[in-house]
Amino acid sequence: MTILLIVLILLFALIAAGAPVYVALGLSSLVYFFSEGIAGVAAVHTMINGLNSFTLIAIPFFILAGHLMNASGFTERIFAFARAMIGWAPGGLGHVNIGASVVFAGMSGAAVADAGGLGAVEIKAMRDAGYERGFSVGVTAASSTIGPIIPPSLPLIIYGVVAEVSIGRLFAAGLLPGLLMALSLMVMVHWMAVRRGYRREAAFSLRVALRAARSAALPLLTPVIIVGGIVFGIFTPTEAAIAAVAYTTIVGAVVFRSLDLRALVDAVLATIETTAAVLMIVASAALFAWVLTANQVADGIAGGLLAMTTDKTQVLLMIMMIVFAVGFFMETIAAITILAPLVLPVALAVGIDPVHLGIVFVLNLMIGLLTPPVGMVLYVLAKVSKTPFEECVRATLPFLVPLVSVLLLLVFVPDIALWLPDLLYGD
Amino acid sequence: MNNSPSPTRIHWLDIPALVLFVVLAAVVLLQFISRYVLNDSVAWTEEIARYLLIGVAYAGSIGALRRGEHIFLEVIYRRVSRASVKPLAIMVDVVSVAFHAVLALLAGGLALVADRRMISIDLPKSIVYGFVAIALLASTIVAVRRLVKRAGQDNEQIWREIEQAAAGEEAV
Repeated sequence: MTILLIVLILLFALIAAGAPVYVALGLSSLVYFFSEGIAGVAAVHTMINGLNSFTLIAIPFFILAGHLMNASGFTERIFAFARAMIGWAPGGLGHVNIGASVVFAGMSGAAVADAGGLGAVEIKAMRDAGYERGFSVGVTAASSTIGPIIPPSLPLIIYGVVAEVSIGRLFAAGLLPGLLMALSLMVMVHWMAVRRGYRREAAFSLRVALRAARSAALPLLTPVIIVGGIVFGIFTPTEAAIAAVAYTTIVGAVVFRSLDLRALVDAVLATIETTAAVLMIVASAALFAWVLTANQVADGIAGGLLAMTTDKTQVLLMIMMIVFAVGFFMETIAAITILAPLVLPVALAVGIDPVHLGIVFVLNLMIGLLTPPVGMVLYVLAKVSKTPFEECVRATLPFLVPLVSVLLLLVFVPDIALWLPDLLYGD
Repeated sequence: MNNSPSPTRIHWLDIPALVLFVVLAAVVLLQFISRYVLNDSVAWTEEIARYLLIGVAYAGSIGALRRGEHIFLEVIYRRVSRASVKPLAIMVDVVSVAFHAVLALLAGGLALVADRRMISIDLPKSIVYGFVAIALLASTIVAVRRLVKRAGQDNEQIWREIEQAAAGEEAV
């Protein structure tokens, strides 16, 4: 037990000192192996086999599809479409920002990706239209968290692999909560826009809307193919991901003629880098999870929680507090890979649906991306918008209210998440 | 997903991961086509694709390490005095060298002792482990070179690099 404590302290010290997260996880686990006299070969075997999953192959291809969409101009077309559709409302570009994030969420699986790609487009458009810098950053940061809730979603894939839950079910479960997040953010934008007297964009014009719709028609088909294909069980997530890559490559290179070989190679190189960064954490976290399992940490957590209550909702709330606390200083992928196996047994024991748990789990971590110190979305947006980090934090605060409200609503009303998967796949 | 194009120049260290990635895409596409068009899955694609993914991760990690693109928390560097930046960064690099070196040795050991064979193709699984060992060895060398480079920089240069890497980070 004392060794475990040393391992934990070492882990947090290394992460805090700025070591790559996978190095911190791997090295502290190795210390456990050596001090307990367990063969290190078993450790490296666990690390390598942590990646031995067909479902995980979806990750690089969803990342690549996202890069290709940015490189082929899908992003701009979708933004223009959203602008033509909802730009007329008070605080127009705030709503456009959220609407475009919803569409983009159906094509890409990461929050930070949204902040960096679409976010750059959104912030520039809002700056040109004369919006306050803080408002633009706040809406962009908050709406980027919709990405991993609406399918496809990299965090949900990783949760599904770790918790052994159907990815199709998880993806179906994310759809309504994601739309609900968008709606709640739009209420906030409306309220702020009215109170601050933001001006409206030009009135709705059917002609402009039709032209924008035609220009965005092919990009808009992407979420239909991906989300529809997976949710209705036509594709596995991995197949949907490769289909998305093939589709965006063909549309980008042949139809839009905006994607050349050089851009394709760039996109692949960037994809490899992100994939390696994500998967090395998954690998090391698998090893670290092994150490925690060997020490029956899950039993300890279950015992502690169950001693306080066996009420489903209360247990879920306490799990959320643990996730929030860990998500405060740990990166998303590592948090899922380590925490999911730890809290799953107790969740199952009191009858929480693992699909429901997955959605609140990921939403909770996404909110963590908007809070310092880890707040990765904020760092990216601070850079993109050339805004001081502290100002980004302050500007995002009001938007946490609608997001946390949706999270709490989801905790208390599981059917918001479970209704659709139960309808499609049966109970 | 940054709009700003990442370095276009392909470093020779990126080539193994690039090749593996292209092969992985081809294999997954083949599986897709064989299932939907030929209506008959090719048997070996799934297993081989899983091994290729492992290869992409460990080979890709070399380049990510070289460019400092692995996910890390830079918060502490924003808080400490400029004079502490270099000692901290050097310590992290030493830890990184040690980790990759030990892991490379262990993976090499695993490749030597593993006697299982692949399921769908009659090849030893040691090929996968051996490849990982080589990739980790390359990572160790890259980590050493990083450490040497850091040792020759001053606090200000290191801080600028860390800030740059943190802002360019893209993850999930």
